[in-house]
Amino acid sequence: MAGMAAAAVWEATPAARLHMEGLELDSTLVERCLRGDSAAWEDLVRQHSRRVYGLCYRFTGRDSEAQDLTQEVFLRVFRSLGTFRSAEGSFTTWLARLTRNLLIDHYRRTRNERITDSIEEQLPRVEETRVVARSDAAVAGREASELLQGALAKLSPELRETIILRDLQDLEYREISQVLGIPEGTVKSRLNRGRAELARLLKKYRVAV
Amino acid sequence: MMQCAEFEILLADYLDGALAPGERAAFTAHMESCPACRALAEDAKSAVGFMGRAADVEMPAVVMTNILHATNSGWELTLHGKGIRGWINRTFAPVLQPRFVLGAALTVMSATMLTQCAGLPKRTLTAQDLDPVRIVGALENRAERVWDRAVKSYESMRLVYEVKSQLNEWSQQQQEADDAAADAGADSRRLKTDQVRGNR
Repeated sequence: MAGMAAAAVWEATPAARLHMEGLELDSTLVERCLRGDSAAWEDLVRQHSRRVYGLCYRFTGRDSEAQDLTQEVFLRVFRSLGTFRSAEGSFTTWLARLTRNLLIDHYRRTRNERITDSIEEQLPRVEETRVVARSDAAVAGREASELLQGALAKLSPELRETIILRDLQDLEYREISQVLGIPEGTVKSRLNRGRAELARLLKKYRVAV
Repeated sequence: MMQCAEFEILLADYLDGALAPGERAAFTAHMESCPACRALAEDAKSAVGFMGRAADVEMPAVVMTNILHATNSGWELTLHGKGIRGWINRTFAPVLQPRFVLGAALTVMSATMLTQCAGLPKRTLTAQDLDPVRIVGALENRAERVWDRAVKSYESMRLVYEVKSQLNEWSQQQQEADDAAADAGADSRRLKTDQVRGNR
């Protein structure tokens, strides 16, 4: 049995091998953290904080909120690292689930603030992007990122989180299903709807997509 | 013939290029025949392409610093190992430091000295011994005894000084008398010597 597993690893594609090595590295780091190795904790934060910040920023659309939430996520990780079980899934999935739960809590908590803010903040951004018709070549990198942020903010939280996890964080359908607690079929269905909605919003901004 | 619902289920896998050849053929055939599904597939594909072109979000360096700073103080306490030993370490970590150990030792010493002063029995300490009334009574008793001793000592000291000063006085008088006698003796000897020199 073990031999078959080893053969499977050996025959896996380079990307898959890299993925498995990453998983192993994460569980080793977590074990070292639990033994009191502070250097391992620093490595763990260094490797995953960017991804967590990205998820928070794409979901909230605000740097200050994303910074606070990222810090909060890692404080929670720090307190509950002992509950992570590598047999039940990867550290990335565990971390994404923790982040997502915090984001949803934050979303519900700040619902009232957002209603007033959305009128003041989101309209100028949309107006600004409407001014000039953009070509595919012109919309690149940072600019595309900003436009995407404006469009993501218009999506419902369910569609937004699914899009972020799949298209911006490159999680597998199985992993997204575990993070969101929904079947893979629902993940795909939400992706289709979210992507179509996003394309419609970008067209509305007269961005060539 | 593929239905629209089935098409939607396979759309994500189609965009990932993960459809089996048979499925892919049926999927493409439906897309060509159904304008709504074709529009959905085109929109989804363009959105995926656009997101691929968008730059990654850059995390400010301060976030990492803040996280490490926030977790650094609780590090020793929270992740100090498992089992009984870990529990002991986590529970007693704040007091297992040299300054606290020194403080604890000094407290024990002070407590010992206080109980000694209060007259509490060291070996047979019971709940009754710690009764405030008894402690106060014992302290009062101790204080009275110390006061009496001090008064006695003072009285004795006064007597001793009086006797001592009297003795000193007497010895001084004796000394003066001796000196006077010695001077008289010397004078008479000097007189005798002068008389002998005169005779020669």
